[in-house]
Amino acid sequence: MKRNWWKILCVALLFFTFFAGLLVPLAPGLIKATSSVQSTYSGPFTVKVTGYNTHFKDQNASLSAWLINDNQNNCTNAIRVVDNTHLELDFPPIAPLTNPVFGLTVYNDKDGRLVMNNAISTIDTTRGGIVPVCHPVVKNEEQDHWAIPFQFILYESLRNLFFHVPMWFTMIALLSWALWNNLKYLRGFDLKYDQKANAAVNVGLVFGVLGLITGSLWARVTWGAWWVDDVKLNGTAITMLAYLAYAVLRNAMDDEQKRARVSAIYSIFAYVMMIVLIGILPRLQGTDSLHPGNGGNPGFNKYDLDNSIRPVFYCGVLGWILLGFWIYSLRLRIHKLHEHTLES
Amino acid sequence: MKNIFQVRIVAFLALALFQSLTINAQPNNSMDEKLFEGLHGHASLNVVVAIIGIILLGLFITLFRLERKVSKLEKQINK
Repeated sequence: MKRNWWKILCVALLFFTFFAGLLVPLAPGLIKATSSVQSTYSGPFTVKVTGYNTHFKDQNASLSAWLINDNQNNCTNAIRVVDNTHLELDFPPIAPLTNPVFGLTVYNDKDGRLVMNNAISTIDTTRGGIVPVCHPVVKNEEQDHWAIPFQFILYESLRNLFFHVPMWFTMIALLSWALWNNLKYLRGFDLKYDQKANAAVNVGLVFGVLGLITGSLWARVTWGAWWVDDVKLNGTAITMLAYLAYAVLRNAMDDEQKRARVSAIYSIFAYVMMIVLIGILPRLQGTDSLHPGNGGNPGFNKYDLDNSIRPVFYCGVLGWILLGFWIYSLRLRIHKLHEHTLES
Repeated sequence: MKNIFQVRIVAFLALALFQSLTINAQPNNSMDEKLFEGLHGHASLNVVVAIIGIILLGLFITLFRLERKVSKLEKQINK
C-alpha cells in the first residue's frame, strides 16, 4: 500500500477532475441579441436577448439592461421577461456617438454583470451620442456561485480544458522522463535506462496522439476545421513524427547497445526540437496562433485561466500525468519480465 | 500489427501537415455543417462527451495492447 499511494492520489485527482469538470455549471452569459430594426435612430426599437444559465425571471426585481456605445450607457424603457433565459428590451431612439456598434449589458444580483460586446449595430449616419445617459447600479460584478467561466463560442466546450490540455502535459512529462533516462544511459551505458526511456516514449506517444485527436475534434467545433494552420498544431505534428520515427528506428536495429546509443542521441535531438516547436516558437512575438496565450503572452495569464477553474485544471494535469506514469510503469514491468523469460 | 498502428498515425499526421500547407481553414459545405450542427452553440457539451470518449477509447486500446504482451509472456512461461 505504501508504494501505491500515488496511484490512489491519481484516482482521487481524476475523480475530482471528472466530477468538478463536468458538474460545475457554466457561468451565466449572453448568447444572442437581435434588434428589431436596422436603424436605431428612426424610432423606438426592441432587442431580443437570449441568455445561457441566466436567472432573468427569478431575479426580476434586480434586473436591469443597458446599451453601451463609446462608454456611454443607455438604459431600457421597459424590460419584458419571457423566461429565465429570454428577454425583450425596449429602447428609445438612439444615435451612436462615433461607433455604429453597441454593446449590451444585462445585470441582476444573482448573475452579476453580463456583457456582450458588438451586440447590435446600426446603419444610421446620424451621430449625436446617447441621450439620456443613465447610471445603472451594479452590486455584484460576477455570479454568486462557483462556475466555469462563460466564453463566447466556446461555451460548454471550455470543459475540454480539463481533458485535452493535460494530454499534452502528460506527453511532455513522459518525454522529459525519457530524456532524463537517455542521459543516464549515455553516462554508463546501462541498458536498464534505455528500457525506461523506450517505455516512456511509447506511452508519451499514446498521450500525444490522444491530444491531437481530441484537439482536432475541438478545433472542428470551435474553429470550423479539423486542422488549421496554427504554429502549435504544426509544431506538435512535427514533434510526433520525430518521435514516431524514433519508435520505428528502434525496431530496425538488432544490436542492443547500438540501438540504445542511437536512440538515446536521437531522442535528445527530438526533445530539443519539441521544446523549440511547442514551447518557444508559439510564444515568439508576432506569432499568430488560435491557441490562447500565444504570440508573446505568457501561457497562463488571468484571461486564459480563470481562478475558479485553476484548481480543477491543476488537479487534472497532475492526475493525468500520474495515470501516464502508471501505464508507463506497467509497460516497463512487462518489458522487464519479457527480458527475464528470454534469459532463463 | 504494431507497425501498422504506427504507419496509420504517420499517415494521419502527414496528411494533416500537408493539408495545412496547401489550403487554409475555410467554412465547409452545408452538408458538413449540418453534420455538426448539434455540436455548435450551447449543445457544445456534446464535444466534451466525445473528447472524453476518445480519451477513454485510447486508454483502453493501450490497455489491450499491454494485455496482449502479458498473454504472450504467460504463454512463454507456461512452455
